[in-house]
Amino acid sequence: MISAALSPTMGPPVSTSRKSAARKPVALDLSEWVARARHTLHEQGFIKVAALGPRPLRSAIIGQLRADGFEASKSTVRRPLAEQLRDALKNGTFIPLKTAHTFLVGGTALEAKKAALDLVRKGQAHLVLRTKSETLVPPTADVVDREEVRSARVVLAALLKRLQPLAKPTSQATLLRSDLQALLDEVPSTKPPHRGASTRGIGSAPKPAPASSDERLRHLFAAIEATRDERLGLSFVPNVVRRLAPDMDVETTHALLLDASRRELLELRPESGLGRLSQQDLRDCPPGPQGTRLSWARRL
Amino acid sequence: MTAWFLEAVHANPWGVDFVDLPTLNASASDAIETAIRNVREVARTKPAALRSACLTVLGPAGAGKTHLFGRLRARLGPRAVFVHIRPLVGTEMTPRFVLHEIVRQLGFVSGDVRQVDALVGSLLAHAMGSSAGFPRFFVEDTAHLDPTARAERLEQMLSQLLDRWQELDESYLRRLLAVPFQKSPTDRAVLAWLSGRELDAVQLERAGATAALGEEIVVPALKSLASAASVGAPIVVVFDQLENLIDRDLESSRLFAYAQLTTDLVDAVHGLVIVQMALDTEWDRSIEPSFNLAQRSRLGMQRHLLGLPTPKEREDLLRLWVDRLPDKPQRFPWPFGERRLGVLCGEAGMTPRMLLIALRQAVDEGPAASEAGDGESEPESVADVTEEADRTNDALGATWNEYLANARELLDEVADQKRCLDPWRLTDGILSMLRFVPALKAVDVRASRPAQVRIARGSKEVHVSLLHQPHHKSIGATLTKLIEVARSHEVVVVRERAQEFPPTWNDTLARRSALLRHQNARWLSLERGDAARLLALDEMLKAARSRDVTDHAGRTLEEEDVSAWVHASLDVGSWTLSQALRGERTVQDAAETSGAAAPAAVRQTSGLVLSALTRLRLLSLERLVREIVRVERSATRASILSELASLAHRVRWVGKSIVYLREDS
Repeated sequence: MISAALSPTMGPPVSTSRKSAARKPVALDLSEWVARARHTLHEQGFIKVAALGPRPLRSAIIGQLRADGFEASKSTVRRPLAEQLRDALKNGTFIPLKTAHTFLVGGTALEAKKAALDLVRKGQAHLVLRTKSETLVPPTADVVDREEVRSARVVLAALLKRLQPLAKPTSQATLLRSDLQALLDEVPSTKPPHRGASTRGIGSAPKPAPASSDERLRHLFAAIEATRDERLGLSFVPNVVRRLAPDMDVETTHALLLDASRRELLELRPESGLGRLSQQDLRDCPPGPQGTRLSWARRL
Repeated sequence: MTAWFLEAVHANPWGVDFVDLPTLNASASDAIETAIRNVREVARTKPAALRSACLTVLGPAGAGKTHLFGRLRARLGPRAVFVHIRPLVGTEMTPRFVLHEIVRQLGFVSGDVRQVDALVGSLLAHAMGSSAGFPRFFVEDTAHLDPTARAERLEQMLSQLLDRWQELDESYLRRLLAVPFQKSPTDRAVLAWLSGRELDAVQLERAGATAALGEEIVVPALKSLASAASVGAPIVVVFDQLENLIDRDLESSRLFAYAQLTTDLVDAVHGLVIVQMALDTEWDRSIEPSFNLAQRSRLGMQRHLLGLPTPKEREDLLRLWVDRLPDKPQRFPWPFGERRLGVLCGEAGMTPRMLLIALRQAVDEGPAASEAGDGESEPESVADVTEEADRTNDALGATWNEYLANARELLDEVADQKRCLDPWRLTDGILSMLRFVPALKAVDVRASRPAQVRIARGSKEVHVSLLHQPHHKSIGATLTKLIEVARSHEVVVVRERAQEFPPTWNDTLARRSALLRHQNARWLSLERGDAARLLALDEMLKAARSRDVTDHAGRTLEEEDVSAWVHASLDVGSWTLSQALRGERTVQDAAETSGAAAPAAVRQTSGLVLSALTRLRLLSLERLVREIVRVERSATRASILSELASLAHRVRWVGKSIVYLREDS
């Protein structure tokens, strides 16, 4: 039995009405301290070392928590960062590397980045470039392998060179759309495996169609998350449709979207842009009320 | 069976009656309310730390952006001053324009109190240590004091404000605080002066000023107004329909200029709550990307995306509307059946506006029709398509007439105040008109030039001057500058017919004659109908851009569809101004030159009197005098009366002031 002053962060039954009462030692044994720490870790995902218990007991408590599989740093004990990252990715979340620590608890930005890169090394996540930011995506995400990126770069560089004469201010020339399409077709594997243009990425192999409706819904939400405009907070429905195109046809995706909307899992919004939808976009948007097209989706 | 709100498919920010479901998008209105509260709190407790807040509210068409303005007005009443600004398309918005709009709308009634009374009353309440909730009481209490005691109380309040913020413009605030206690013509003149508008000599005298508010006073005036108001009723400036600033045809920096204006307001003017409203997708595609980083950091402080109503909210909203319907034969869900109600509440993508349109259709067609179909059916045959197109055209025609009626109302209001339309409104109208006149192309617009609009006509450039000034001195100065412009360029001077120069303005009339002696110069008296068409066209196109124009079934029409209808139906090319700008002879020219071409022997006034009567048929004697003097400076009222007497067999009189030409003459 050891007597110790209990930290208020642990929420012990101490009176806070007077300082003297707060300092009054409370007798707890090691197993009780460990149980409290496990409870906090279960609830919050981390606990400060200073809040673990009396100083003499701390190393013993940390030892037991480590044995449970928790990670300990100088100042905190936490659920392993890799595990936290894996959980976050399981929900289909895309995690920008720079802000990875905001998805985790009990870790610094540096530790979060290190943990993320470890996951990539182990093949438990992919690191992709989205606009300018490196982003961690689930291992199930459809990504392009490095070799394909290299060959795409070569072809695109050649393509740019061929377009260079048109960039001159003195030039009044342009291209036939069919010629441009032909040039773009030279980029390896840009052609979608099924009908409609795909935004899944270069060279992605079609995956078997998800069987259960729950699984389909999960795929839908992953596609909505992946195509979400960070600033606007909305996903453009044609992009969602194209992303799912190899696995699902347009009608199935529309049915899924409408079903999810009916179940109030997501909100479908009518297009109110200034006539910006192409004919293909119009086909990819489910029809909405009063002649509108539902072109934007938002998870609720 | 109709109710006013069924016709009000597009929210009226200043509507008196108001149906609201408070839970719908409560987070956005709460955020604005919190910002107002914070501004007031900081103004009272830490005046040195007072800053302006900026919030952005985004949502699809019909989601209720403008409705939020009405909700806040209804909820906060006189505890804030609300200003609703739709962006200018042709002219860059400036601090002067913002000041003008704020002060103009101080004259509007909100929550049963004129906003300027709310502003001053809440300041009085705060100065007297009371709650700012009942400003009218404090205004009336102060109004009942004898003039010396009242002046002392106002002076005391002013010095409290100046103690708090020493940089405020004392003389501007002194005039502002006195407005609620002045008699009607004087308070209007003072408000017009405070708004930065140019006044005529009589109004200047009433306002106790010798000149209009100078350019150097505009920003200090805005600062003074915003800071002073923040203690009692903070000013909430709402910039609505910002998507109208996107210009795909003209090379322009309107969005950047708007961002610079609002950034300056955030930086330099403290105590404002600025709310920006736009279509969600356009904000991110076109509006925000045109801002620089500094602008984004200031204007993107808080962003709220409006959601669509949930099924429960839809039902509540419909129930709320149906409850307000007079003489309903049954209880809710009438006029819907259970099935139709289920569809409306469950269908994806339903905005409040769509629900209102569905309700209107159900009320018009009855529950059986509503239950039978979903209110939408695709045309099946060619005849159906034609009928559909006809009905859409009819709906657009009705919409056009609505805008035309609104424009006439505005013109009447402006004429009552004996002033011309604000030049920026007319500029926007002209630019809208130019979209339908292929021979003309807007080059640029600059409000500070004597000829504000430059238009390209082939290889030539036409300078258009909107002569809107009320004071003869500023008109004279502008005419002198225009004479210079006319030496090298074609100039068309536009002045509203309703505000023609009085015959006693000899100097002004002489300058006009000097200008018109130049071959390059042309004068166009803008008739009320022409002005109304310009305003209506501009409003309709702006509404189309904001997706607020609908067909007979309530479906939103694309901007291109509305433009196509304008092209096909309004014959914009034949409008007088359009003809004048193309250098063609207008009906007005024909009438005027027929008088000018009369033989010298009968030229004095007889030909002119007859010509004016033939052209205008029925008019007041005053108007006739103005018409004749405009063409023939030597004519006098006496000579015209004598001429009318000699034409007694051809003219008829109504009383002593209205004259008209006999039908058989």
